Amino acid sequence: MLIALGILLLVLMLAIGGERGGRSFAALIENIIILILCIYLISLGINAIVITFVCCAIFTSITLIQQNGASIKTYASAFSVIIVICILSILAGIISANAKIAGYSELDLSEEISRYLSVNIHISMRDLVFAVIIFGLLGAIMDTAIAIASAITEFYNNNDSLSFKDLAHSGKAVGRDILGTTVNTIFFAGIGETMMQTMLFLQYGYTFETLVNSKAFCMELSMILISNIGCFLIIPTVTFITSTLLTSNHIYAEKIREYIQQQSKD
Amino acid sequence: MKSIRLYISKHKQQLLIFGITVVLFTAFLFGVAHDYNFYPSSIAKVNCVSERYLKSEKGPNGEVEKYYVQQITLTIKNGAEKGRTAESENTYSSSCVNSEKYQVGDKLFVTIKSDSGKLTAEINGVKRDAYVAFVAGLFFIGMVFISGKQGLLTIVSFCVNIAVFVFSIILYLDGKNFIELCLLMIFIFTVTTLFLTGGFSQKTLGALISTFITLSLTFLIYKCVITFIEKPPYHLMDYIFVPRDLDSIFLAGILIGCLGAVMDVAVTVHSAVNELLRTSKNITKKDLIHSIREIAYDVMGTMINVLLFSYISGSLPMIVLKVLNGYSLYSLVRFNIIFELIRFLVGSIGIVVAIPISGVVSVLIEGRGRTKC
Repeated sequence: MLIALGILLLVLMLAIGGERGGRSFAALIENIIILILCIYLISLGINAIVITFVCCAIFTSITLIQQNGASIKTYASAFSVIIVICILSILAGIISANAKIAGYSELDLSEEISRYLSVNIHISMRDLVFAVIIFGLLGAIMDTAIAIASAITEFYNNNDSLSFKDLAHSGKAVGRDILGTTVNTIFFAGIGETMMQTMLFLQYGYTFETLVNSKAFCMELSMILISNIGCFLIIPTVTFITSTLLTSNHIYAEKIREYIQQQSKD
Repeated sequence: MKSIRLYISKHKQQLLIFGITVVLFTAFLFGVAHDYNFYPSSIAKVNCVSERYLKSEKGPNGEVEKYYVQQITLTIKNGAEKGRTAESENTYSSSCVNSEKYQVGDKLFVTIKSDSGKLTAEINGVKRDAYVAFVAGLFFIGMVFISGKQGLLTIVSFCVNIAVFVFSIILYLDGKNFIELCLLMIFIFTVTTLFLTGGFSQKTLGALISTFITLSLTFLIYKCVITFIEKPPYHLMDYIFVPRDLDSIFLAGILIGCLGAVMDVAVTVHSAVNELLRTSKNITKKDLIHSIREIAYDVMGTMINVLLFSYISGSLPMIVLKVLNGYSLYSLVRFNIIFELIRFLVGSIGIVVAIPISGVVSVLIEGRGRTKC
């Protein structure tokens, strides 16, 4: 069943996206392999937070630079993704260390499986919460970043007399349009996923205050909301970096442009 | 220094609004953190914690898991015993899978027992509302600051959608037909989201039509796969409480899950085609198709990654727990995360299918409008 759906997806991507659809599919497979690898590395007892940062860098380079080719827009969006991940890891750190949302939730405890799995695994579940939050937002911010960076580059290519200020302004305008739809994508993905949990909550007759303080709700909500916060943090970041890289005459900006040009030739 | 002063005098109003927001937000958080009197159950704050080592247990792969006992002193924050201290005991293990480690400053829901003048507390849970308020507040402020009125409308559409969602599930639990409710729910979700965030225009109407066609097609594809190839093992789903309608509940989850992504693609393609037809009136059909394909490349890869990360990351802790309990990758994929994977794959198929459909629909609608004028 999974294989059939996978093949169908590949065929459709090839039919509609052509050669670049194929490249996207390859990047997807690579991402899944890295994700599996990352699960096994965490299981071996390596610190989950370290793994999260390393994997984020790899995912970003696969999804942005490898899939779309080396160019100013891909490098700029990759930088911004890493910056935003660093900023949000503070928030994720606060939540995972203090909100006590790690481990089995109230709903998991009523599941049969929680009774016969050994819990003596010697891996910090709090670090895993951190990993869950950061991985969850990664896809969304990469999507927003590349969309804005390519729009700004497109404006600049059409009219290269545009100043930093003009580019930043149009970047913000594009960002505003994209933000709404991306936020909706995450929101509906979350709702679709929590259908069963919501039914259970309603069936058990949870009151509002029990719901707000429950582990399952707090976990799901912080995942969705932190991804959304990432989406609007990335808009100014990527606008600033792309516009600077395109227009700045500073020596470092020129060096970076040269480096990217060299990379894209290889 | 001068430039800072100049900046302040230039952006006085914005800075003022920002300052007021920060103050209000802090006040709101403080209020939520101290709302003890709203709760009927007792709440206590952890004052001091002392720990001692209890025992070690062997894990499935020879790991050594250490167990500790915490001696906790709490101050009661509401009810008749407000202000008094109580004692409690808590055992936790180093990985905290089904136990909790408490720190000084944590607020806990407790049941208080009086034993010859000395109070003992039984811990029932953690008070997490301040964290929920913190993240939700940040989200709200950020949305409004970055995208203004549009951001506010997005939040309004969220609230409407959540209300519709909860209400339909209540109706279902009352015994209404699930499939009818689900269709109605999807319809309301799409209409409110698109019209509230996109405004009423031909473009939005087009996006609405494309979304419905794409969803029906995705549904058909999924139906074909499960009838002709294999049914997913519904009975292995998480959080089952009644074994009825499992297949339609799962299907509804899939469709609602990819609804957001499909709407995203539809809006993107429709605005782009609209823009192209507006700026270059004499564009040929071939050029238009080429441009739509160009957009398709950009959208497809990254959108699919959004779904991949947001679906799979949630089940990460359970996967790690199961891997350590000796589950093989094959059985995990076959029986445990199969639902996440199906959701992800069907959602991705929805995204890919949405591109040509939105293209055709937008060309039909805009093209007709063009001949009229």
